Amino acid sequence: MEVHSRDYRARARRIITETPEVREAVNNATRTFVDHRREAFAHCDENALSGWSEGVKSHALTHLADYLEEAEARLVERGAHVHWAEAASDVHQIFERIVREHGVRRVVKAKSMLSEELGLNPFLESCGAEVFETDLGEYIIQLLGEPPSHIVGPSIHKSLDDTRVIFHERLGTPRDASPETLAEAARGLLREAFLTAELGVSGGNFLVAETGSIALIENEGNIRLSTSVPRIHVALIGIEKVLPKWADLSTFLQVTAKSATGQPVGCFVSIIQGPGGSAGGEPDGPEELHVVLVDNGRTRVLADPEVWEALRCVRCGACLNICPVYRQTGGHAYGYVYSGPIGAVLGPGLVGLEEMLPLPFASSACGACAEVCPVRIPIPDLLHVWRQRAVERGLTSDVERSVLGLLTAAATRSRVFGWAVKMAGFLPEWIVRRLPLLQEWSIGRETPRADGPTFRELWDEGIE
Amino acid sequence: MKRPEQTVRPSVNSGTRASNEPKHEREQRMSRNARERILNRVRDANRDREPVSHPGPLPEAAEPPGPFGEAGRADPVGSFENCFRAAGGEVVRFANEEAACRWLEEFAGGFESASVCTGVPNALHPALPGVPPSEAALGVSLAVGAAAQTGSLLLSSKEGRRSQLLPPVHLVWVQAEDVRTTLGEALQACRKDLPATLALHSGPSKSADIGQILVTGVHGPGRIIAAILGADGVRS
Amino acid sequence: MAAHTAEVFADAEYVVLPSGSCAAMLRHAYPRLLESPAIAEHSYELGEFLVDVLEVTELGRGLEGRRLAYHHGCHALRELGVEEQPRRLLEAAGATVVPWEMDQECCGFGGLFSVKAPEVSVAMADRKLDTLPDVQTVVSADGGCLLHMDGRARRRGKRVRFQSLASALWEARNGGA
Repeated sequence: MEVHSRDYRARARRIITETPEVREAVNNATRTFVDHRREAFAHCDENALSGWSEGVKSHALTHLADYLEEAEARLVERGAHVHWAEAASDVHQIFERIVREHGVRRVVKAKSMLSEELGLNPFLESCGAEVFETDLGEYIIQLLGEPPSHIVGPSIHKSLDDTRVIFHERLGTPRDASPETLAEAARGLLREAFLTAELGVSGGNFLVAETGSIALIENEGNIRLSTSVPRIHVALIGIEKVLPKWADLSTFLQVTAKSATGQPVGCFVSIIQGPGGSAGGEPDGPEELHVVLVDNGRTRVLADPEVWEALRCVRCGACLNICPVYRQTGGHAYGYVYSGPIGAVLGPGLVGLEEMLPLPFASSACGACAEVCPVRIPIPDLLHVWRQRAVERGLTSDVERSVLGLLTAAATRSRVFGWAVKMAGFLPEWIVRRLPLLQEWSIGRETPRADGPTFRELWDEGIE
Repeated sequence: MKRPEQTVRPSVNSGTRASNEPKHEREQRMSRNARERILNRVRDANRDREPVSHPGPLPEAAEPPGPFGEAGRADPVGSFENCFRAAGGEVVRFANEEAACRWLEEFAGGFESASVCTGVPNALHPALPGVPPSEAALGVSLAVGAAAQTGSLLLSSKEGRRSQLLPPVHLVWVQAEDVRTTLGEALQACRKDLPATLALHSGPSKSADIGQILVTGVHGPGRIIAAILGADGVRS
Repeated sequence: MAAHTAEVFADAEYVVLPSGSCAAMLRHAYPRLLESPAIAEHSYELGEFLVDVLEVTELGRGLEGRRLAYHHGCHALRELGVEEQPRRLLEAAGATVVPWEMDQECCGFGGLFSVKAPEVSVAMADRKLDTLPDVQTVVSADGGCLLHMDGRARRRGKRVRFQSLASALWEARNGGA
């Protein structure tokens, strides 16, 4: 999966100026999520829930090796195959074998951000398999050839009209089809895929160590179908998704659903312990269950004493929904599978700071995200850590360093600073436009103008 | 054909790299090596870190309410009904099996065929031609439990999953005494004998992915009816 | 800069700042940058200082009849927990603080963010301006926010006055400007 975070500013500018409807669509969707989330937590002791959830996740991460081994043992006892993958190439190899040995021609996929990280779809296609994204939002963007724009709602940047157009082109629905008609068309086509695919691929919201259970939350039923109908089910799970005990699951299911969409719980939850069919002594279900435990940079983040807390993330998307910066563009501006606040703090850890710049700076540091994170990830603090590292590693621009150097020199010399502030109120715009960095102010804004004496002048005269 | 079991213990030898090593064995060896490297990195990462203790069970006072709360404990079936309906599900209640059967006869009249899960008692089968789940108009199953807190029905894969997923309408029988208050309690009751998949169904299938407009019946059943047996008062 | 500031104010009993972000910097960031800086303990944003430390809310009725909206700067709101104090001071001075749905949303200044991602920064200011109720003045405890929103409003030809809390309270005491 390619990272395009370097282009953040240009991509953001294009989205804002050339496709303002995207900004509108994202604004509407995120505002709705925010309102629903607030209602869902209104009668809850949010403090107690987030404190407890933080504790459980931190405990799981600090004892991760033991819990991973326990989960593996439980799964193997039930007849599942457990694979360990360090990076995308390992995962590709696992899938290559399965596709080859089982003659897989069709794959039905449930939404999995991890599979995006690993570039799975293009790889499966290169193996000659036809891949169907079955989550409706993912299906829409698959038809459009776009990456997901949001962790929970991949197509929130697309309007009803956008969907009508692409469905008319590809599925032959009428140009003015209602949402119900569009959904029915997708349902029919994807139902055929469910019934004929040899392989179903999913991610995993949680992996319960005590029972080796994979928990998956959804509203449509496509995950239930993808993990029940095809002969083989492969679940891709990041190693950080571990929950220690069966008893922990109920609260995490509820907290994640409330944080994401404001529901008490998703319409469907699949809690998977092993294969079904004859392997599991059941009337149906997959004959083979493969669980792939994926690192892909997670151990690097875990080893980082200042950033490891980001691994508590349950992928609810609440931080994206509340973020006033994300809201202006949607996820595509960030050029990475995880966008918004969590993308800016997890990405540099998983992929590397240099590739992910300027994302830690693509934030006004307003702090709203920290207030809604159900596992209390201190996102503003983590942004600060990455920014500091960027400066220390010399990754910020010379221009920026020079300007800040000048500012520091002025700010520590009282009279110089007083003079500079006075002058700032009289700077004509044509000068500001030529100043490095500060010229960006003139994009969209007038420069400050003097409006009477400065505070210093009043103070010196004796304010009364 | 049974695959060789994955070993759980760390392998002592990294294995011979003989050029005639079968591909799948080489892949298994590489997976074991990946396993070792990953687990070692995890252990190294946590080596100097202060371990965090598990906070224990969630305090009862912190259990999410909503339509639940005090009323939930007093009347789990009523709370379940409120929550399930709020999500778009339908609920019917019957004091006894006779009443249920009478209702079923009328209800089944609206369908051409059915696919029934193995766990459903004969008396509660609709008198309809049985067809494969992918062709049935109605799917019927028996829940192994329910949770009032989240309005969830708990379904076991032991009964067959396709009937719970493929027909557009899903009728779920559940005993009133199996309706627990919290989701945690409902899950705990299933802990001993977990099927390959324990599923929670908490309403009809839905999506707002098309321009943020809600549609139902996207993949799973667009209509789900919880039929509660042994519950006083018929609210339908 | 932090070291310099801490030194300058070393002997002060209280350090009062007419800026939420600056006060938050002294209170929360200085302890990370400097060795136990005493200054962190008694730094206050102006509105906070008046209401919580001096226990003063009545400054005069100089804002009688003024309809204004209050913008909550992020640092004052989320880092210092200053939310009610400015409103109380403004209302006690006779102003009507008009409800504004987006009053707690970030305006997009964010310090260097305003020049590193200017298009997004300006789009955020537009969100604020587009949802502003019908008022003549927007008051805030943060200079950066005010400069940014004022700059955008003037570019758009939107006639709203952006005034600092300190200036508004000055008018409360000494009569309207």
